[in-house]
Amino acid sequence: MDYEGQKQSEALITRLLVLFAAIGFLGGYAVGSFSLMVAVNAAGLAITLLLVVPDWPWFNRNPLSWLPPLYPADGEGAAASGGGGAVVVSGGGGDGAGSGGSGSRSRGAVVKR
Amino acid sequence: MHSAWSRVNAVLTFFGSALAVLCVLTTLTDMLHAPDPSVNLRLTEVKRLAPWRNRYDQAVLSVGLEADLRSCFSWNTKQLFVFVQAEYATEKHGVNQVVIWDRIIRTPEEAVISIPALKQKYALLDRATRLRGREVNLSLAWSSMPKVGALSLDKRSFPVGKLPEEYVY
Repeated sequence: MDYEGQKQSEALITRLLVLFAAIGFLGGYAVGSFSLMVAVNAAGLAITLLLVVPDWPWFNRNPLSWLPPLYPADGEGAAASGGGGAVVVSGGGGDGAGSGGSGSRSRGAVVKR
Repeated sequence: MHSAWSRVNAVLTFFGSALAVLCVLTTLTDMLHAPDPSVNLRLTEVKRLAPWRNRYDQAVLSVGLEADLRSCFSWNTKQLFVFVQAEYATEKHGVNQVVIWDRIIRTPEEAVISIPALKQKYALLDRATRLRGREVNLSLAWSSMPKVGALSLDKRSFPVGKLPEEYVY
């Protein structure tokens, strides 16, 4: 789930539960049935859990776009070497990624596409 | 961290808060509920008024009861606990209340009570021998037990006159 999806799912939790609570209360009071209110709220809880808890595709419409790797050719090996790799990058600063900043900082930065 | 379990936690805790608000709202609706019960209690006969183990006065009453408590049921009422009590005052004790009969009413259908000769469930005993010639009130009281909220007690009292001056066997 991406950041936008997290925001949406949290908004969905409060909105759905408040909506079902309001419907259940008004409906139960109108009909004069306490159990109807309980049933509507239980259904609301089930629906909310179903809609919000799994990582549905619509929560992943705004994926994070990371900067391209500085040394694509090195692949995983260079990235895994950690600090040593960062020192080398700060010296090189190429590939158009680290514009001004040090290599280690630009590796951590996130840019939305 | 925004895992599936943290979302489950968020849903359940917010659901709990929503339920708490619903409980408060539900008890508030009970304030709008105005019951209009009809009750009639009468003393048909004093079957017995005699010393019990030579220490206390005991009275056995025959009571007629008609009550319609259907309007006491709101959507938030779980059940009614209905009881008949005899009330009298003595020189030593200003308030004496003795429950002589009770019943649990779970549905509005059961709330229409018509008992021409109520059988006493519990003994009407005085703590001394002061029942003879005593002015007695018969009351029908009902404790309303809601599904959510506080218990409430309501009562209708009927003066039924004096018990006999002499023992009745």
